[in-house]
Amino acid sequence: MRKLVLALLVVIALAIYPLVVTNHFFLHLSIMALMYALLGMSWNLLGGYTGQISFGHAAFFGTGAYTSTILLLRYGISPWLGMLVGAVFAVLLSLPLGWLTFRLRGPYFALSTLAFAEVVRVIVYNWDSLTGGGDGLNILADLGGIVRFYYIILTLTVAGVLVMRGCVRSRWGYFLNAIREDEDAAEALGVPATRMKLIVLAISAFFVALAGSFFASYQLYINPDLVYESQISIQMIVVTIVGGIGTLEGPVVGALVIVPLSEYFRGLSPVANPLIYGLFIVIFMMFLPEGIVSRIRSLLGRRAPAVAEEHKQVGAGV
Amino acid sequence: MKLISLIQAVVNGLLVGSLYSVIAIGLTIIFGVMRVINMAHGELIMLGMYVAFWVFTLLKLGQVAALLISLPLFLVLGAGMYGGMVNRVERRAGEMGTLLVTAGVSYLVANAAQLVWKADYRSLPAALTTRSWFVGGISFNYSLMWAFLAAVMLTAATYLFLIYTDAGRAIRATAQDREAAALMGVQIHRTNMMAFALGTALAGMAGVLLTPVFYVYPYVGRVFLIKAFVVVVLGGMGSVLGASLGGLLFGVVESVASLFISSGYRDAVGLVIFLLVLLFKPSGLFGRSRF
Amino acid sequence: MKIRLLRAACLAALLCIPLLNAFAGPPAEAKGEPILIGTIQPMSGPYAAFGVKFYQAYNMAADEINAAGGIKGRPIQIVFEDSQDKMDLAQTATRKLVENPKIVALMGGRLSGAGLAIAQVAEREHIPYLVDHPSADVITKSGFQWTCRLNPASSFNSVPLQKFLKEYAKDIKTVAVLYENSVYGKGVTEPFKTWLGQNGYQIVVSELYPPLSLDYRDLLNKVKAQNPDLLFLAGNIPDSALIIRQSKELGLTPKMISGAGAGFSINEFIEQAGDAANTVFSTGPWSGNPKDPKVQALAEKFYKRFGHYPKEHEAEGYAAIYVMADALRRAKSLSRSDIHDALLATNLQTTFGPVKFDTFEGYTNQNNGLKNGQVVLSQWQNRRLYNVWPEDVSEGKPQYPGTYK
Repeated sequence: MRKLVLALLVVIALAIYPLVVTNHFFLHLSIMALMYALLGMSWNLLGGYTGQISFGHAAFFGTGAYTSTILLLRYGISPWLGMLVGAVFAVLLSLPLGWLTFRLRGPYFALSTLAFAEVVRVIVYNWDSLTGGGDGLNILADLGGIVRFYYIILTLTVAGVLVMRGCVRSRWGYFLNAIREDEDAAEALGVPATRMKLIVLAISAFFVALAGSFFASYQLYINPDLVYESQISIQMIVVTIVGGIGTLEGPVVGALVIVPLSEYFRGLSPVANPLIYGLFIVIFMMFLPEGIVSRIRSLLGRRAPAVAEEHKQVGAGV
Repeated sequence: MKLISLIQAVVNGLLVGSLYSVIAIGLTIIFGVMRVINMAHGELIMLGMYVAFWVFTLLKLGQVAALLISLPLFLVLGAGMYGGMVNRVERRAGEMGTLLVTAGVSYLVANAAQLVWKADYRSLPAALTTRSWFVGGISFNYSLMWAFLAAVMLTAATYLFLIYTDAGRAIRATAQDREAAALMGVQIHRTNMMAFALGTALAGMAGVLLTPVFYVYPYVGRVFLIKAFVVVVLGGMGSVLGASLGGLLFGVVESVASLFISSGYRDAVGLVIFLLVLLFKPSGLFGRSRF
Repeated sequence: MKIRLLRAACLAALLCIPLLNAFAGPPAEAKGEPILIGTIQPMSGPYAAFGVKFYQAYNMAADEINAAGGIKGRPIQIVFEDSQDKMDLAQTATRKLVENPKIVALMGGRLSGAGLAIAQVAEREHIPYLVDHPSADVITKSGFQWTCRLNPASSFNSVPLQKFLKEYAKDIKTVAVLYENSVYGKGVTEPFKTWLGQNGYQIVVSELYPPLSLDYRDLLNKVKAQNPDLLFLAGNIPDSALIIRQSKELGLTPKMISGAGAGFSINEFIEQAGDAANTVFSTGPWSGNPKDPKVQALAEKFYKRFGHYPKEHEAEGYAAIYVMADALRRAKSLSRSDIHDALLATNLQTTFGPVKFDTFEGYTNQNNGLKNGQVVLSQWQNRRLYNVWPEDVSEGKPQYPGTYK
């Protein structure tokens, strides 16, 4: 009950935030933070909860971005509708990806997702007539002010949280944990591992694509390097690791920490920004692999609720 | 398609492929022994390239000097990376942890290099790098030939090390069966460190050999990392023989494929091979049985 | 350990970054508060060499103008923002400049894609943008009101080469075309390919390559297999130099190799490609009429100060500053919209030729001062770039067929 009240307060605070804070820069930061929280959460569902570390989520981000943009530029379809179409495409894309790669485990899986995302990027890059190739696509239309974008991403993120929560705090949560801990044992006990993994991948892809479409409409310019780069995948991962892999709040906290820092450094030098990501991954993996949220939890001596022991470390043990 | 073009493609492929082999051998040793996928391997190559570049530009010394400097430099770097970071992360967060932390290092090092050395593309003077011999209409780039020879020698040296020295045998034993090796008295921790150091040194030296052939810039590592993974998987993760032959094979396939497909898709060739191998024969050409 | 040292070095380097922000223009003779003009150039990254050219040219022109009293006593000052020739960074850099109310106009861009990105921001934010180098047609074919372009559009680039093929190198029949996958590469090459098709030439190879690839041997091997008479290349450095070097290495010897400006018409090209670049042609924007004494004087001045002769980039940048200064003088006030009006009304003779912005054939505010002119075919001879065609602006005889052994 207490948690519910707290959550409601947070949502209300976030909702009235733009009415109070009008500085465009801070709004921009919040938008980015919310977007990365959404991205991190989506990745976390597959990575932290189900134990499948993917380096290829950029493929879904880019698919969302390009789909909605192409639909807008060629057919005049509203990007908000295009967003949904993009998300559906991403889900469709995730099916062959899952089918191809889920038979692999651990590092093999991670590498294959990386390769898959790269293949998608190369195709998009070369499919000049559809995607504008290396030059990317420019959106010349006016899609609304910064406040509108804030509310859209807030809605998407809240929706994401609710969906993630629903997945995790249910029977599914147990299944995912089981798969992460020991997939063979889980299967032996009757957990439909491959099916669960595909479902989780699809959900993950759906939200990542939504974020991608959002990003395209917000930035008004995309190109293959911007939205398909492995950097996007890495950023999702960093946010989650810093916040707490395998926790619900983790990616949100991680985004709140990382995004302002990275935007500040981006202002200093275009290079300092990705440097921060690298630095954070290294430092956290060395000293705080369970992430901020999990550490705070264990410091407070609090145990997570019965379902989905959220403070498990990443693939602990050999 | 003219025969001579095909032969030229094969020649180019073999020459460049030998360098892929050296890179891949380093990566596969690290994986074979420790089950660690070193995502930062590409950046180690990049550092090797910069070492050669600065040795030439500032010290006015050639590649041999650069190789001699790199060997101890990268051995120490590798040992340090392992002892200071990889080891710790592996204990706390397992396989996935090392995957993630090396990915982080990769990002860190590439961007730090950009910060320090600027994003400019460097290369050695054209006079040194474009000389080539023509034999029957086929062009053999001078620098590539030298790199090929050096790569062959490095590969041979690595083999000899692995087969005839105690340390080398320890590495192979650990790769085959960690527990059994430990039971036989092999110091696993020390062996891991040696393997990591060896892999790192091979990457750095490969970088030195690559400098006259390719442009040097902070993100060049990424390109080679992907190729190295393709070769490692193709040859069989953990197999040094697989990595050496796989590198040559991959180089040839890339070059010959370029004759038939649009240049934009050239990079996709490797990726497609990679995915196909992972799907249909994940143990690669030689699997893990042979080292 | 090495990693810690590396980290310490990074931190130290990071702390030095604010110091780099002192990239504003040099001190000026004219007193008074400086008038700020913003420009987005690649100051770092693989295309940094181009940014340097504009840096030199802009500052030289600004120094001269300021020494002569500036604009009604106020000096002009150029504010540089680094785009690394990346489109998203160009956009961010532009927004940053636009948000500074002291910046009255924008210039530059360098890469065609960046130019387009800047033009869009300029159109949205109502700030005048003078294009001096980005050449893609689309920049002045999109109906932008706030953008005007001094240099020729990229479809003009290959015109001198076309004339040369028709009037001089009439024995060329087969053509191989290699161009980079970018707005510039496509913008320069597509019109040329169309012209080739319409005039009975056979295109034996046409490849759109990803820029900044590490190795072009396989691509060139493919070209060699087809044995073309003419090899047409559209790319920037370092690709241009690498392609020429590897082409020599592979023994590719067509009758003629021609670039299309950009990476083929600058000093860095000859520096990086060395002797392999001898007798390579380049078709693209000129650097002013070589027979014009003012242009010759500028060339010597430039050489004395910077150690190399100005080519298309420097000429464009230098002239652009003069155009901007002229507009600033004529403008009713220094508000962005008044400057915009003054710019559009420009009718000025510069060292880049006449500048007058016109609307014609689908172009808006495109300089058409010389009616499809201001482009020339030049050739590298003895490590210098000489205009060779058309004859009325040539500085020497073309060496055809070229010797590429």
